[in-house]
Amino acid sequence: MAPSAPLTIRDLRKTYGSTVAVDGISMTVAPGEIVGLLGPNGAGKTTTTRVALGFLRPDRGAVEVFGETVTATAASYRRQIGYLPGEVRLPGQATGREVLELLGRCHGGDCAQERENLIERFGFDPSKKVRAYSKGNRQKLGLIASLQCKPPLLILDEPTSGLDPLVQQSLLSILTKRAEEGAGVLFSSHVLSEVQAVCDRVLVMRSGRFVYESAVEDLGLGRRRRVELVLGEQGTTTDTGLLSLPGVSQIEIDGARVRFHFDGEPATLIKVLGSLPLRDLVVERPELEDLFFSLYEDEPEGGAS
Amino acid sequence: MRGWLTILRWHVRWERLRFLVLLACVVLFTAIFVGISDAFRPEEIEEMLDRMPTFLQKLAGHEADRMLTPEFWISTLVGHPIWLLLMLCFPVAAGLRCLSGLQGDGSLEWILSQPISRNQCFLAGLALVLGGSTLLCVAAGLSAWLAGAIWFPGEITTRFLFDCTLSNWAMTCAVGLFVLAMSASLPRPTSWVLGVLIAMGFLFILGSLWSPARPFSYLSLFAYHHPQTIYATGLRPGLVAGAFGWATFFGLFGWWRFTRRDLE
Repeated sequence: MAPSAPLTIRDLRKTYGSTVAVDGISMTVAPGEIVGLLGPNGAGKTTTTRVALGFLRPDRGAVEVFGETVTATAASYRRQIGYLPGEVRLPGQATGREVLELLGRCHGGDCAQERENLIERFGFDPSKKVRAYSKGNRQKLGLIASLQCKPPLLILDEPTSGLDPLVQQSLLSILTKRAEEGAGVLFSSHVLSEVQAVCDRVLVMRSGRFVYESAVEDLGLGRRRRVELVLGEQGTTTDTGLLSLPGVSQIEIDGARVRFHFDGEPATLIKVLGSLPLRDLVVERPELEDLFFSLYEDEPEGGAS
Repeated sequence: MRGWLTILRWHVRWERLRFLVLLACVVLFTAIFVGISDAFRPEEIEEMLDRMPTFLQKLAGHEADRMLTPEFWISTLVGHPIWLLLMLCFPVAAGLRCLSGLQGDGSLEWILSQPISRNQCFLAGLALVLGGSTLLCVAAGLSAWLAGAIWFPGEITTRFLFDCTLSNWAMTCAVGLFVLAMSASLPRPTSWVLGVLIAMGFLFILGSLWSPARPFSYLSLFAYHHPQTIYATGLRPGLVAGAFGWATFFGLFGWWRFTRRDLE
């Protein structure tokens, strides 16, 4: 029998009154896979992670962690999970070490060695009271708490929020290493560049549904280029047929400045550009942001988180 | 099942200082209250009670068959508003803190992300409220016994003190589990808890003053603790059973809600 996936979500639906937070989503996080969960506020990312932890009961569908169905009353499956909430809130009167030791005892495993490693790696001082920590240090505390027992499934809601670039880099390398060791990681984030850097697969949520799913390497961004050009005084784009070229999309014209995406034949673009009175030209690889924004055009404000 | 003990130890870690201060206040209040009884002659107290308005006499339960004995004094102590306030401080505060308080400061989310079930979390809260209330009631009973032994040697029966302590314990448990049930059901229950407890207080007063309202006063948890009745006629097991009945109901309701509701 094949081993169960770290996380399987089937046809999950969750509503708050008349608001549909998550609408029939299905997904799997395989062992050793880092899955990026993207979406703006209200897309349903946090609801999805909270159902996976058993904090919220789904209206329909099921979540399984290593084959064990998640319910509000069950708890043993959570031995497999390291969880970091989107907003790290902890009791202010306790010290960082007291919090870490409490959560280690609750987990029941031997977490002390890894805890000390992480404390050293993140440069964290666990002797202070939680109320004295800055946002970044609270985030470090939350990360150490979620990683200290080396769980085989990590569910991290915006893990790099508030961290300085060095610690961010350190965290991303830890996640990559954990995935290489076989852990599954579900990584919710607004920071698309880091998702692009560490994730194997990206899921984009909108209004409680997955509107896009792809392996990062198959995102279609490989051939696509973002082009920005500034025309000379006499130049126009219409008379050269630039904007009607096959492969041109997402056109923005701001006076003499023209921006567009191009995923057609480079030779045809070069030919047309050569006929234009260019003052400046930038051709660059697009970021995941470009995909993200194109998916979220016309997105209304609000919704569940 | 060791998880609930871990959570209970965490609760105790933060409650113990407040609890010890409260315990000291109970012992001190008992000692002062019983100690100053020497300063009054029975006739003076009787005269003072006679001068009180009828409704106050009714409220205090002293309207008939007064006998100014040390047991009367003790029954006045354990029904005194300051005593009740001291006895209820812990179950109310601990009941609020152990579930909704954990949710409020973010601890609950972290604890429940570990292999700790909601049952274990609730059990830890239950143990804290019941254990703390029991310790407080036992300490209060012992301090009343000690104060009685010092100031009224041989005049207060152990049975009377036991009955007062039992009645006190039943009411404290009922209030504690009511608060726990609210804490288990609502993310921010403080104003609801205080509002309902104040309403229960008024209902109890109304039932004491106005006999047609008396049946409704049993909707108030305070109606089940009646030390003057214990003094006058002995313990009424029905009242103690009623208080424990409410406590059981609130305990089961709180557990049912906490293990099923969404933790938002």
